[in-house]
Amino acid sequence: MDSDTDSAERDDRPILIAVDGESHTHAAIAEAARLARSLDRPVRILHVEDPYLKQFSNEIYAQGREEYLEHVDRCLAEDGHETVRVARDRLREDGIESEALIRKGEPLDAIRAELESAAYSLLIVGRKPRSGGWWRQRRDLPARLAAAGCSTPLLIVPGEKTSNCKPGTTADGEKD
Amino acid sequence: MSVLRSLIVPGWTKYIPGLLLCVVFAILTMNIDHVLHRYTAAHLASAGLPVLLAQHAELEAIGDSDGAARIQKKIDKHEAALQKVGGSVGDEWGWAAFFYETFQFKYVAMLLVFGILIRNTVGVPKIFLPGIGIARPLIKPGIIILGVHYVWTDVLRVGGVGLVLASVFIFGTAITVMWISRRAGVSDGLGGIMGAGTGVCGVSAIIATAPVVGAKPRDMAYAIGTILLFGTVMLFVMPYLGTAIGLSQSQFGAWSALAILNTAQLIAAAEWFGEEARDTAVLINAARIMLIPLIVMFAVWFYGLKGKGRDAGFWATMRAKFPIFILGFFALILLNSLHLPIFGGPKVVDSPFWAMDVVYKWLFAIGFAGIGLSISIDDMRKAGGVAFLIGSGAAIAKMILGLVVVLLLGTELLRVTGGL
Repeated sequence: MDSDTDSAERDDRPILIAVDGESHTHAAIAEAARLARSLDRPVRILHVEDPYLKQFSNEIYAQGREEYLEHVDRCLAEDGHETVRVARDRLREDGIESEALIRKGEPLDAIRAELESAAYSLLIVGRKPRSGGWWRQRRDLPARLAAAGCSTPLLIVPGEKTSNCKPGTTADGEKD
Repeated sequence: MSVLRSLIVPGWTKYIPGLLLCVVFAILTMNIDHVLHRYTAAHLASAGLPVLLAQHAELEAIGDSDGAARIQKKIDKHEAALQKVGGSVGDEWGWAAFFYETFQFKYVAMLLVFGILIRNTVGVPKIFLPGIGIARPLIKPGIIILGVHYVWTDVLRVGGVGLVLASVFIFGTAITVMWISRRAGVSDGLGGIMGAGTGVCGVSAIIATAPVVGAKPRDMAYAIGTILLFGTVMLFVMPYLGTAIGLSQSQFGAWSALAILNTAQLIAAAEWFGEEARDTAVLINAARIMLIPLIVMFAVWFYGLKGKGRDAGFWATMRAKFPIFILGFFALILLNSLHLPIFGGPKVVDSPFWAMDVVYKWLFAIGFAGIGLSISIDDMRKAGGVAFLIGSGAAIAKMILGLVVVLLLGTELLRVTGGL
Protein backbone atom coordinates (compact mmCIF):
# COMPACT_ATOMS: atom_id res chain seq x y z
CA MET A 1 0.00 0.00 0.00
CA ASP A 2 2.77 2.40 1.02
CA SER A 3 4.53 1.82 -2.21
CA ASP A 4 1.37 2.53 -4.20
CA THR A 5 0.77 5.74 -2.28
CA ASP A 6 4.35 6.89 -2.89
CA SER A 7 4.06 6.24 -6.56
CA ALA A 8 0.74 8.11 -6.74
CA GLU A 9 2.38 11.12 -5.01
CA ARG A 10 5.31 11.03 -7.39
CA ASP A 11 2.89 11.13 -10.32
CA ASP A 12 1.58 14.48 -9.14
CA ARG A 13 4.95 16.12 -9.11
CA PRO A 14 5.00 18.88 -11.71
CA ILE A 15 7.44 19.39 -14.54
CA LEU A 16 9.57 22.50 -14.10
CA ILE A 17 10.64 24.36 -17.21
CA ALA A 18 13.21 27.13 -17.00
CA VAL A 19 12.71 29.81 -19.66
CA ASP A 20 14.67 32.90 -20.56
CA GLY A 21 12.83 34.38 -23.52
CA GLU A 22 15.45 33.37 -26.05
CA SER A 23 14.54 31.46 -29.19
CA HIS A 24 16.17 28.25 -28.03
CA THR A 25 13.66 27.87 -25.19
CA HIS A 26 10.80 27.54 -27.70
CA ALA A 27 11.85 23.97 -28.42
CA ALA A 28 12.06 23.29 -24.68
CA ILE A 29 8.54 24.65 -24.12
CA ALA A 30 7.21 22.45 -26.94
CA GLU A 31 8.91 19.43 -25.38
CA ALA A 32 7.47 20.31 -21.96
CA ALA A 33 4.01 20.51 -23.50
CA ARG A 34 4.42 17.11 -25.16
CA LEU A 35 5.65 15.42 -21.97
CA ALA A 36 3.04 17.11 -19.76
CA ARG A 37 0.31 15.83 -22.04
CA SER A 38 1.60 12.28 -22.34
CA LEU A 39 2.53 11.92 -18.64
CA ASP A 40 -0.41 13.97 -17.42
CA ARG A 41 1.71 16.21 -15.22
CA PRO A 42 1.21 19.84 -14.32
CA VAL A 43 3.80 22.35 -15.57
CA ARG A 44 5.50 25.17 -13.73
CA ILE A 45 7.36 27.84 -15.65
CA LEU A 46 10.40 29.37 -13.97
CA HIS A 47 12.01 32.58 -15.13
CA VAL A 48 15.04 34.01 -13.34
CA GLU A 49 15.83 37.72 -13.46
CA ASP A 50 19.61 37.69 -13.60
CA PRO A 51 21.05 40.82 -11.94
CA TYR A 52 24.34 40.31 -13.80
CA LEU A 53 24.27 43.82 -15.32
CA LYS A 54 24.04 45.50 -11.93
CA GLN A 55 27.65 44.71 -11.05
CA PHE A 56 28.83 47.24 -13.61
CA SER A 57 27.37 50.14 -11.64
CA ASN A 58 30.69 50.06 -9.74
CA GLU A 59 32.61 51.26 -12.81
CA ILE A 60 35.13 53.91 -11.89
CA TYR A 61 33.43 56.95 -13.41
CA ALA A 62 29.87 55.62 -13.48
CA GLN A 63 27.42 58.50 -13.19
CA GLY A 64 23.72 58.14 -12.43
CA ARG A 65 24.13 54.76 -10.71
CA GLU A 66 20.69 54.81 -9.08
CA GLU A 67 18.94 55.60 -12.35
CA TYR A 68 20.87 52.81 -14.07
CA LEU A 69 20.00 50.26 -11.38
CA GLU A 70 16.31 51.24 -11.50
CA HIS A 71 16.40 50.97 -15.29
CA VAL A 72 17.92 47.47 -15.17
CA ASP A 73 15.36 46.33 -12.57
CA ARG A 74 12.48 47.73 -14.60
CA CYS A 75 13.69 46.12 -17.85
CA LEU A 76 14.31 42.75 -16.21
CA ALA A 77 10.84 42.78 -14.67
CA GLU A 78 9.19 43.71 -17.99
CA ASP A 79 11.16 41.10 -19.91
CA GLY A 80 10.41 38.50 -17.24
CA HIS A 81 6.67 39.01 -17.40
CA GLU A 82 6.72 38.99 -21.19
CA THR A 83 8.81 35.79 -21.26
CA VAL A 84 6.45 34.03 -18.88
CA ARG A 85 3.38 35.25 -20.78
CA VAL A 86 4.76 33.89 -24.09
CA ALA A 87 5.56 30.52 -22.48
CA ARG A 88 2.12 30.23 -20.87
CA ASP A 89 0.40 31.12 -24.14
CA ARG A 90 2.43 28.50 -25.96
CA LEU A 91 1.47 25.82 -23.42
CA ARG A 92 -2.15 26.94 -23.51
CA GLU A 93 -2.18 26.29 -27.27
CA ASP A 94 -1.67 22.63 -26.34
CA GLY A 95 -4.39 22.81 -23.72
CA ILE A 96 -2.00 22.89 -20.78
CA GLU A 97 -2.51 25.34 -17.96
CA SER A 98 0.65 26.30 -16.14
CA GLU A 99 1.83 28.11 -13.05
CA ALA A 100 4.51 30.80 -13.38
CA LEU A 101 7.33 31.55 -10.99
CA ILE A 102 9.64 34.54 -11.28
CA ARG A 103 12.80 34.57 -9.17
CA LYS A 104 15.73 36.95 -8.90
CA GLY A 105 19.38 35.97 -8.67
CA GLU A 106 22.07 33.95 -10.37
CA PRO A 107 20.13 31.52 -12.62
CA LEU A 108 21.92 28.35 -11.49
CA ASP A 109 21.41 29.17 -7.80
CA ALA A 110 17.78 30.18 -8.34
CA ILE A 111 16.93 27.00 -10.24
CA ARG A 112 18.65 24.82 -7.64
CA ALA A 113 16.83 26.65 -4.85
CA GLU A 114 13.51 26.03 -6.59
CA LEU A 115 14.31 22.32 -7.01
CA GLU A 116 15.10 22.10 -3.31
CA SER A 117 11.99 24.02 -2.23
CA ALA A 118 9.50 21.75 -4.03
CA ALA A 119 9.33 18.25 -5.49
CA TYR A 120 9.53 18.11 -9.29
CA SER A 121 9.44 15.11 -11.55
CA LEU A 122 11.58 16.69 -14.25
CA LEU A 123 13.50 19.85 -15.03
CA ILE A 124 13.54 20.96 -18.66
CA VAL A 125 15.94 23.58 -20.03
CA GLY A 126 16.80 24.64 -23.55
CA ARG A 127 20.32 24.75 -24.91
CA LYS A 128 21.53 27.34 -27.36
CA PRO A 129 22.56 26.05 -30.74
CA ARG A 130 26.19 26.95 -31.17
CA SER A 131 29.24 26.00 -33.07
CA GLY A 132 31.62 26.61 -30.17
CA GLY A 133 33.82 23.92 -28.74
CA TRP A 134 33.75 22.11 -25.40
CA TRP A 135 34.95 25.24 -23.54
CA ARG A 136 31.82 27.18 -24.44
CA GLN A 137 29.51 24.22 -23.97
CA ARG A 138 30.83 23.20 -20.56
CA ARG A 139 30.25 26.68 -19.12
CA ASP A 140 26.66 27.18 -20.27
CA LEU A 141 23.72 26.85 -17.90
CA PRO A 142 22.55 23.34 -18.93
CA ALA A 143 26.09 22.01 -18.52
CA ARG A 144 26.46 23.64 -15.11
CA LEU A 145 23.05 22.32 -14.05
CA ALA A 146 24.07 18.82 -15.10
CA ALA A 147 27.34 19.18 -13.20
CA ALA A 148 25.54 20.45 -10.11
CA GLY A 149 24.23 16.95 -9.46
CA CYS A 150 20.60 17.79 -8.64
CA SER A 151 18.41 14.79 -7.74
CA THR A 152 15.67 15.92 -10.14
CA PRO A 153 16.07 14.42 -13.62
CA LEU A 154 17.25 17.01 -16.14
CA LEU A 155 16.19 17.16 -19.79
CA ILE A 156 18.24 19.43 -22.02
CA VAL A 157 16.48 20.34 -25.24
CA PRO A 158 18.72 21.66 -27.99
CA GLY A 159 17.35 24.73 -29.74
CA GLU A 160 17.21 25.21 -33.46
CA LYS A 161 19.29 27.85 -35.17
CA THR A 162 16.96 30.74 -35.91
CA SER A 163 17.13 34.48 -36.15
CA ASN A 164 13.77 34.83 -34.43
CA CYS A 165 15.16 36.22 -31.16
CA LYS A 166 13.39 38.68 -29.02
CA PRO A 167 15.37 41.21 -27.09
CA GLY A 168 15.51 40.57 -23.38
CA THR A 169 17.52 38.99 -20.66
CA THR A 170 18.63 35.41 -20.75
CA ALA A 171 18.34 32.92 -17.97
CA ASP A 172 22.00 32.10 -18.11
CA GLY A 173 23.01 35.59 -19.02
CA GLU A 174 24.27 34.65 -22.46
CA LYS A 175 23.58 35.53 -26.03
CA ASP A 176 22.58 33.31 -28.86
CA MET B 1 23.36 59.92 15.67
CA SER B 2 20.94 59.46 12.79
CA VAL B 3 23.28 61.52 10.60
CA LEU B 4 26.13 59.18 11.49
CA ARG B 5 23.96 56.15 10.81
CA SER B 6 22.98 57.52 7.40
CA LEU B 7 26.67 57.63 6.46
CA ILE B 8 27.01 53.90 6.87
CA VAL B 9 26.19 51.85 3.78
CA PRO B 10 23.52 49.24 4.57
CA GLY B 11 25.02 45.75 4.56
CA TRP B 12 28.57 47.14 4.64
CA THR B 13 29.96 43.95 6.16
CA LYS B 14 29.49 42.08 2.86
CA TYR B 15 32.18 44.30 1.33
CA ILE B 16 34.85 43.44 3.90
CA PRO B 17 36.09 40.02 2.61
CA GLY B 18 36.56 41.18 -0.99
CA LEU B 19 38.20 44.43 0.03
CA LEU B 20 40.57 42.57 2.34
CA LEU B 21 41.39 40.16 -0.48
CA CYS B 22 42.26 43.09 -2.76
CA VAL B 23 44.38 44.71 -0.03
CA VAL B 24 46.32 41.48 0.59
CA PHE B 25 46.70 40.91 -3.17
CA ALA B 26 47.96 44.49 -3.58
CA ILE B 27 50.45 44.19 -0.69
CA LEU B 28 51.85 40.92 -2.06
CA THR B 29 52.19 42.30 -5.57
CA MET B 30 53.71 45.61 -4.50
CA ASN B 31 56.31 43.65 -2.54
CA ILE B 32 57.13 41.44 -5.52
CA ASP B 33 57.42 44.63 -7.62
CA HIS B 34 59.73 46.10 -4.97
CA VAL B 35 61.97 43.02 -4.94
CA LEU B 36 62.15 42.87 -8.74
CA HIS B 37 62.94 46.58 -8.87
CA ARG B 38 65.70 46.20 -6.27
CA TYR B 39 67.37 43.27 -8.02
CA THR B 40 67.04 44.95 -11.42
CA ALA B 41 68.77 48.05 -10.04
CA ALA B 42 71.50 45.82 -8.56
CA HIS B 43 71.90 43.99 -11.89
CA LEU B 44 72.34 47.27 -13.77
CA ALA B 45 74.68 48.59 -11.07
CA SER B 46 76.80 45.45 -11.21
CA ALA B 47 77.28 45.89 -14.96
CA GLY B 48 77.62 49.66 -14.88
CA LEU B 49 79.91 50.19 -11.89
CA PRO B 50 83.24 49.18 -13.53
CA VAL B 51 82.53 51.57 -16.41
CA LEU B 52 81.72 54.40 -14.03
CA LEU B 53 84.83 53.73 -11.93
CA ALA B 54 86.97 53.89 -15.04
CA GLN B 55 85.32 57.15 -16.13
CA HIS B 56 85.82 58.58 -12.65
CA ALA B 57 89.51 57.72 -12.70
CA GLU B 58 89.93 59.30 -16.15
CA LEU B 59 88.19 62.53 -15.09
CA GLU B 60 90.29 62.76 -11.96
CA ALA B 61 93.41 62.18 -14.01
CA ILE B 62 92.61 65.14 -16.27
CA GLY B 63 91.59 67.29 -13.27
CA ASP B 64 87.85 67.60 -14.10
CA SER B 65 86.59 67.69 -10.52
CA ASP B 66 83.01 68.66 -11.47
CA GLY B 67 82.71 65.75 -13.87
CA ALA B 68 84.31 63.42 -11.35
CA ALA B 69 81.86 64.57 -8.65
CA ARG B 70 78.94 63.93 -10.99
CA ILE B 71 80.18 60.43 -11.74
CA GLN B 72 80.85 59.86 -8.04
CA LYS B 73 77.17 60.46 -7.30
CA LYS B 74 76.24 57.78 -9.80
CA ILE B 75 78.83 55.44 -8.30
CA ASP B 76 77.35 56.00 -4.82
CA LYS B 77 73.89 55.24 -6.17
CA HIS B 78 75.08 52.05 -7.84
CA GLU B 79 76.97 50.93 -4.74
CA ALA B 80 73.85 51.55 -2.63
CA ALA B 81 71.80 49.45 -5.08
CA LEU B 82 74.29 46.60 -4.77
CA GLN B 83 74.44 46.94 -1.01
CA LYS B 84 70.66 46.60 -0.72
CA VAL B 85 70.81 43.05 -2.08
CA GLY B 86 74.17 42.19 -0.52
CA GLY B 87 75.82 41.81 -3.91
CA SER B 88 79.05 42.93 -5.49
CA VAL B 89 80.40 43.83 -8.94
CA GLY B 90 80.19 40.84 -11.27
CA ASP B 91 77.06 39.40 -9.69
CA GLU B 92 74.13 38.99 -12.04
CA TRP B 93 70.37 39.04 -11.56
CA GLY B 94 69.38 38.76 -15.19
CA TRP B 95 66.02 37.15 -14.36
CA ALA B 96 64.92 40.26 -12.48
CA ALA B 97 66.02 42.57 -15.28
CA PHE B 98 64.24 40.37 -17.81
CA PHE B 99 60.90 40.51 -15.98
CA TYR B 100 61.10 44.11 -14.82
CA GLU B 101 62.87 45.90 -17.66
CA THR B 102 62.59 43.80 -20.79
CA PHE B 103 59.15 42.30 -20.17
CA GLN B 104 57.90 45.33 -18.18
CA PHE B 105 56.24 43.02 -15.65
CA LYS B 106 55.50 45.68 -13.05
CA TYR B 107 52.87 45.82 -10.32
CA VAL B 108 50.08 46.89 -12.66
CA ALA B 109 50.72 43.99 -15.03
CA MET B 110 51.07 41.54 -12.14
CA LEU B 111 47.79 42.60 -10.53
CA LEU B 112 45.92 42.42 -13.81
CA VAL B 113 47.44 39.19 -15.15
CA PHE B 114 47.26 37.26 -11.88
CA GLY B 115 43.81 38.70 -11.15
CA ILE B 116 42.48 37.60 -14.54
CA LEU B 117 44.10 34.17 -14.14
CA ILE B 118 42.59 33.66 -10.68
CA ARG B 119 39.14 34.86 -11.72
CA ASN B 120 39.01 32.67 -14.82
CA THR B 121 40.67 29.48 -13.59
CA VAL B 122 40.12 28.66 -9.92
CA GLY B 123 37.42 31.35 -9.71
CA VAL B 124 36.56 33.80 -6.96
CA PRO B 125 34.15 32.62 -4.22
CA LYS B 126 30.94 34.64 -4.09
CA ILE B 127 31.67 36.00 -0.65
CA PHE B 128 34.49 38.12 -2.14
CA LEU B 129 32.59 39.55 -5.11
CA PRO B 130 30.86 42.57 -3.47
CA GLY B 131 34.14 43.81 -1.99
CA ILE B 132 36.03 43.27 -5.24
CA GLY B 133 33.34 45.32 -6.98
CA ILE B 134 33.82 48.33 -4.74
CA ALA B 135 37.63 48.07 -4.77
CA ARG B 136 37.70 49.38 -8.35
CA PRO B 137 36.33 52.86 -7.54
CA LEU B 138 39.20 53.31 -5.05
CA ILE B 139 41.12 54.46 -8.10
CA LYS B 140 38.93 57.57 -7.95
CA PRO B 141 40.41 59.01 -4.72
CA GLY B 142 43.79 58.00 -6.18
CA ILE B 143 43.06 60.22 -9.18
CA ILE B 144 42.01 63.12 -6.95
CA ILE B 145 45.34 62.81 -5.11
CA LEU B 146 47.18 62.78 -8.43
CA GLY B 147 46.15 66.44 -8.67
CA VAL B 148 49.35 67.21 -6.72
CA HIS B 149 51.33 66.21 -9.82
CA TYR B 150 50.03 69.15 -11.88
CA VAL B 151 50.09 72.92 -11.99
CA TRP B 152 47.71 75.18 -13.83
CA THR B 153 50.05 75.62 -16.78
CA ASP B 154 49.79 71.86 -17.32
CA VAL B 155 46.00 72.09 -17.22
CA LEU B 156 45.97 74.92 -19.73
CA ARG B 157 48.49 73.34 -22.10
CA VAL B 158 48.01 69.55 -21.84
CA GLY B 159 44.42 69.78 -20.55
CA GLY B 160 43.54 72.32 -23.24
CA VAL B 161 44.99 70.17 -26.00
CA GLY B 162 43.36 67.17 -24.33
CA LEU B 163 39.97 68.84 -24.19
CA VAL B 164 40.11 69.70 -27.89
CA LEU B 165 41.29 66.20 -28.82
CA ALA B 166 38.81 64.51 -26.48
CA SER B 167 35.94 66.60 -27.86
CA VAL B 168 36.84 65.77 -31.46
CA PHE B 169 37.32 62.06 -30.72
CA ILE B 170 34.25 61.76 -28.47
CA PHE B 171 31.79 63.55 -30.69
CA GLY B 172 33.41 62.21 -33.85
CA THR B 173 33.04 58.65 -32.59
CA ALA B 174 29.58 59.14 -31.07
CA ILE B 175 28.14 60.85 -34.14
CA THR B 176 29.66 58.29 -36.51
CA VAL B 177 28.57 55.28 -34.45
CA MET B 178 25.03 56.57 -33.87
CA TRP B 179 24.62 57.55 -37.53
CA ILE B 180 25.91 54.20 -38.84
CA SER B 181 23.76 52.36 -36.29
CA ARG B 182 20.64 54.20 -37.43
CA ARG B 183 21.45 53.54 -41.10
CA ALA B 184 21.97 49.85 -40.29
CA GLY B 185 18.61 49.64 -38.53
CA VAL B 186 20.12 49.11 -35.07
CA SER B 187 17.77 49.99 -32.19
CA ASP B 188 18.11 53.43 -30.58
CA GLY B 189 19.00 51.76 -27.29
CA LEU B 190 21.95 49.81 -28.67
CA GLY B 191 23.12 52.58 -31.01
CA GLY B 192 22.95 55.12 -28.18
CA ILE B 193 24.96 53.14 -25.66
CA MET B 194 27.53 52.04 -28.25
CA GLY B 195 27.95 55.66 -29.40
CA ALA B 196 28.50 56.82 -25.82
CA GLY B 197 30.52 53.78 -24.79
CA THR B 198 32.96 53.85 -27.70
CA GLY B 199 33.09 57.65 -27.66
CA VAL B 200 33.58 58.61 -24.02
CA CYS B 201 34.73 56.18 -21.38
CA GLY B 202 33.30 52.76 -22.02
CA VAL B 203 31.14 51.11 -19.41
CA SER B 204 30.84 54.30 -17.31
CA ALA B 205 29.26 56.09 -20.27
CA ILE B 206 26.99 53.13 -21.00
CA ILE B 207 25.69 53.30 -17.42
CA ALA B 208 25.02 57.03 -17.76
CA THR B 209 23.30 56.67 -21.15
CA ALA B 210 21.41 53.35 -20.94
CA PRO B 211 18.41 54.63 -18.93
CA VAL B 212 18.11 57.71 -21.13
CA VAL B 213 18.04 55.87 -24.46
CA GLY B 214 16.06 52.97 -23.00
CA ALA B 215 18.63 50.27 -23.76
CA LYS B 216 17.45 46.70 -23.22
CA PRO B 217 19.38 44.34 -20.92
CA ARG B 218 20.39 42.21 -23.87
CA ASP B 219 21.80 45.27 -25.67
CA MET B 220 23.65 46.32 -22.53
CA ALA B 221 25.18 42.86 -22.15
CA TYR B 222 26.37 42.98 -25.78
CA ALA B 223 27.74 46.50 -25.44
CA ILE B 224 29.47 46.00 -22.09
CA GLY B 225 30.97 42.70 -23.24
CA THR B 226 32.33 44.37 -26.37
CA ILE B 227 33.77 47.36 -24.52
CA LEU B 228 35.41 45.11 -21.92
CA LEU B 229 36.82 42.83 -24.61
CA PHE B 230 38.43 45.63 -26.61
CA GLY B 231 39.47 47.56 -23.49
CA THR B 232 41.28 44.50 -22.14
CA VAL B 233 42.93 43.63 -25.45
CA MET B 234 44.12 47.23 -25.86
CA LEU B 235 45.37 47.31 -22.27
CA PHE B 236 47.77 44.45 -22.94
CA VAL B 237 48.66 45.29 -26.54
CA MET B 238 49.13 49.06 -26.49
CA PRO B 239 52.02 49.36 -23.98
CA TYR B 240 54.09 46.91 -26.05
CA LEU B 241 53.03 48.62 -29.29
CA GLY B 242 53.93 52.01 -27.81
CA THR B 243 57.40 50.72 -26.90
CA ALA B 244 57.86 49.13 -30.32
CA ILE B 245 56.85 52.33 -32.12
CA GLY B 246 59.10 54.38 -29.83
CA LEU B 247 56.45 56.69 -28.38
CA SER B 248 57.50 59.00 -25.58
CA GLN B 249 55.81 58.68 -22.20
CA SER B 250 53.61 61.71 -22.81
CA GLN B 251 52.66 60.58 -26.30
CA PHE B 252 51.65 57.17 -24.99
CA GLY B 253 49.59 58.78 -22.21
CA ALA B 254 47.67 60.86 -24.73
CA TRP B 255 47.27 57.91 -27.09
CA SER B 256 45.84 55.66 -24.39
CA ALA B 257 43.47 58.42 -23.20
CA LEU B 258 42.14 58.85 -26.73
CA ALA B 259 42.07 55.26 -27.89
CA ILE B 260 41.38 52.82 -25.04
CA LEU B 261 37.65 52.30 -24.80
CA ASN B 262 37.28 51.78 -21.04
CA THR B 263 38.50 54.06 -18.26
CA ALA B 264 39.86 51.42 -15.89
CA GLN B 265 41.91 49.83 -18.64
CA LEU B 266 43.27 53.16 -19.91
CA ILE B 267 44.50 54.20 -16.47
CA ALA B 268 46.06 50.78 -15.96
CA ALA B 269 47.80 50.89 -19.36
CA ALA B 270 49.19 54.39 -18.75
CA GLU B 271 50.36 53.59 -15.20
CA TRP B 272 51.99 50.45 -16.57
CA PHE B 273 53.83 52.42 -19.27
CA GLY B 274 55.24 54.94 -16.81
CA GLU B 275 54.57 57.85 -14.47
CA GLU B 276 54.74 60.58 -17.13
CA ALA B 277 52.38 58.59 -19.36
CA ARG B 278 49.96 58.24 -16.47
CA ASP B 279 50.06 61.96 -15.66
CA THR B 280 49.20 62.89 -19.25
CA ALA B 281 46.54 60.19 -19.56
CA VAL B 282 44.79 61.14 -16.31
CA LEU B 283 44.65 64.83 -17.25
CA ILE B 284 43.26 64.18 -20.74
CA ASN B 285 40.86 61.63 -19.31
CA ALA B 286 39.65 64.23 -16.78
CA ALA B 287 38.80 66.45 -19.72
CA ARG B 288 37.12 63.50 -21.42
CA ILE B 289 34.84 62.43 -18.57
CA MET B 290 33.59 65.96 -18.03
CA LEU B 291 31.90 65.55 -21.40
CA ILE B 292 29.68 62.65 -20.22
CA PRO B 293 26.63 64.89 -19.55
CA LEU B 294 27.02 66.49 -22.99
CA ILE B 295 27.08 63.14 -24.74
CA VAL B 296 23.93 62.10 -22.85
CA MET B 297 22.22 65.29 -24.00
CA PHE B 298 23.46 64.67 -27.53
CA ALA B 299 21.90 61.18 -27.48
CA VAL B 300 18.58 62.67 -26.32
CA TRP B 301 18.68 65.14 -29.21
CA PHE B 302 19.92 62.63 -31.81
CA TYR B 303 17.23 60.06 -31.06
CA GLY B 304 14.49 62.65 -30.64
CA LEU B 305 13.80 61.56 -27.06
CA LYS B 306 12.83 65.02 -25.86
CA GLY B 307 9.17 64.43 -26.57
CA LYS B 308 9.28 61.01 -24.87
CA GLY B 309 9.98 62.41 -21.42
CA ARG B 310 13.64 61.36 -21.46
CA ASP B 311 15.01 64.90 -21.49
CA ALA B 312 15.66 65.98 -17.92
CA GLY B 313 16.88 69.43 -19.00
CA PHE B 314 20.39 70.86 -19.15
CA TRP B 315 21.03 71.52 -15.46
CA ALA B 316 19.31 68.39 -14.20
CA THR B 317 21.39 66.29 -16.61
CA MET B 318 24.56 68.10 -15.58
CA ARG B 319 23.78 67.47 -11.90
CA ALA B 320 22.96 63.79 -12.46
CA LYS B 321 25.77 62.88 -14.86
CA PHE B 322 28.67 65.24 -14.06
CA PRO B 323 31.57 63.48 -12.31
CA ILE B 324 31.73 65.72 -9.23
CA PHE B 325 34.85 64.05 -7.82
CA ILE B 326 36.86 65.62 -10.63
CA LEU B 327 36.42 68.97 -8.85
CA GLY B 328 38.56 67.55 -6.02
CA PHE B 329 41.26 66.76 -8.58
CA PHE B 330 41.21 70.34 -9.85
CA ALA B 331 41.14 71.73 -6.27
CA LEU B 332 44.42 69.90 -5.56
CA ILE B 333 45.92 71.22 -8.80
CA LEU B 334 45.00 74.71 -7.62
CA LEU B 335 46.63 74.15 -4.22
CA ASN B 336 49.75 72.70 -5.83
CA SER B 337 49.94 75.66 -8.21
CA LEU B 338 50.04 78.07 -5.28
CA HIS B 339 53.32 76.47 -4.12
CA LEU B 340 52.40 76.93 -0.46
CA PRO B 341 55.28 75.73 1.72
CA ILE B 342 52.87 74.14 4.20
CA PHE B 343 51.83 71.52 1.61
CA GLY B 344 55.28 70.86 0.14
CA GLY B 345 55.16 68.75 -3.00
CA PRO B 346 55.17 65.14 -4.17
CA LYS B 347 58.98 65.19 -4.26
CA VAL B 348 59.42 67.02 -0.94
CA VAL B 349 59.95 64.17 1.51
CA ASP B 350 57.74 64.20 4.65
CA SER B 351 55.49 66.98 3.32
CA PRO B 352 51.66 66.50 3.17
CA PHE B 353 51.68 66.27 -0.64
CA TRP B 354 54.50 63.73 -0.50
CA ALA B 355 52.45 61.61 1.92
CA MET B 356 49.42 61.87 -0.34
CA ASP B 357 51.54 60.80 -3.28
CA VAL B 358 52.53 57.64 -1.40
CA VAL B 359 48.89 56.88 -0.65
CA TYR B 360 47.75 57.22 -4.26
CA LYS B 361 49.86 54.26 -5.40
CA TRP B 362 48.24 52.02 -2.79
CA LEU B 363 44.77 53.15 -3.80
CA PHE B 364 45.68 52.40 -7.42
CA ALA B 365 47.11 48.99 -6.45
CA ILE B 366 43.95 48.00 -4.54
CA GLY B 367 41.82 49.31 -7.42
CA PHE B 368 43.84 47.39 -10.01
CA ALA B 369 43.53 44.25 -7.86
CA GLY B 370 39.76 44.78 -8.05
CA ILE B 371 39.92 45.31 -11.82
CA GLY B 372 42.03 42.19 -12.41
CA LEU B 373 39.80 40.02 -10.25
CA SER B 374 36.70 41.44 -11.98
CA ILE B 375 37.78 40.78 -15.58
CA SER B 376 35.77 37.72 -16.50
CA ILE B 377 36.07 35.94 -19.81
CA ASP B 378 32.40 35.04 -19.43
CA ASP B 379 31.54 38.77 -19.46
CA MET B 380 33.58 39.30 -22.61
CA ARG B 381 32.01 36.27 -24.27
CA LYS B 382 28.79 38.27 -24.29
CA ALA B 383 30.34 40.54 -26.89
CA GLY B 384 28.69 39.87 -30.17
CA GLY B 385 26.28 40.81 -32.89
CA VAL B 386 26.13 44.36 -34.16
CA ALA B 387 27.74 45.70 -30.96
CA PHE B 388 30.88 43.71 -31.72
CA LEU B 389 31.08 45.06 -35.26
CA ILE B 390 30.58 48.64 -34.05
CA GLY B 391 33.03 48.18 -31.17
CA SER B 392 35.77 46.66 -33.32
CA GLY B 393 35.41 49.39 -35.95
CA ALA B 394 35.52 52.18 -33.37
CA ALA B 395 38.41 50.60 -31.45
CA ILE B 396 40.60 50.17 -34.53
CA ALA B 397 39.73 53.62 -35.94
CA LYS B 398 40.46 55.37 -32.61
CA MET B 399 43.69 53.47 -32.18
CA ILE B 400 45.02 54.44 -35.62
CA LEU B 401 43.75 58.04 -35.62
CA GLY B 402 44.90 58.58 -32.04
CA LEU B 403 48.38 57.34 -32.91
CA VAL B 404 48.60 59.64 -35.93
CA VAL B 405 47.52 62.63 -33.82
CA VAL B 406 50.02 62.05 -30.97
CA LEU B 407 52.82 61.48 -33.47
CA LEU B 408 51.95 64.79 -35.15
CA LEU B 409 51.69 66.66 -31.85
CA GLY B 410 55.01 65.44 -30.47
CA THR B 411 56.02 65.22 -26.84
CA GLU B 412 56.32 68.78 -25.53
CA LEU B 413 52.70 69.79 -25.98
CA LEU B 414 51.57 66.69 -24.11
CA ARG B 415 54.13 66.67 -21.30
CA VAL B 416 53.04 67.31 -17.71
CA THR B 417 55.73 69.29 -15.92
CA GLY B 418 54.26 69.53 -12.44
CA GLY B 419 55.77 73.00 -12.27
CA LEU B 420 59.35 71.75 -12.59
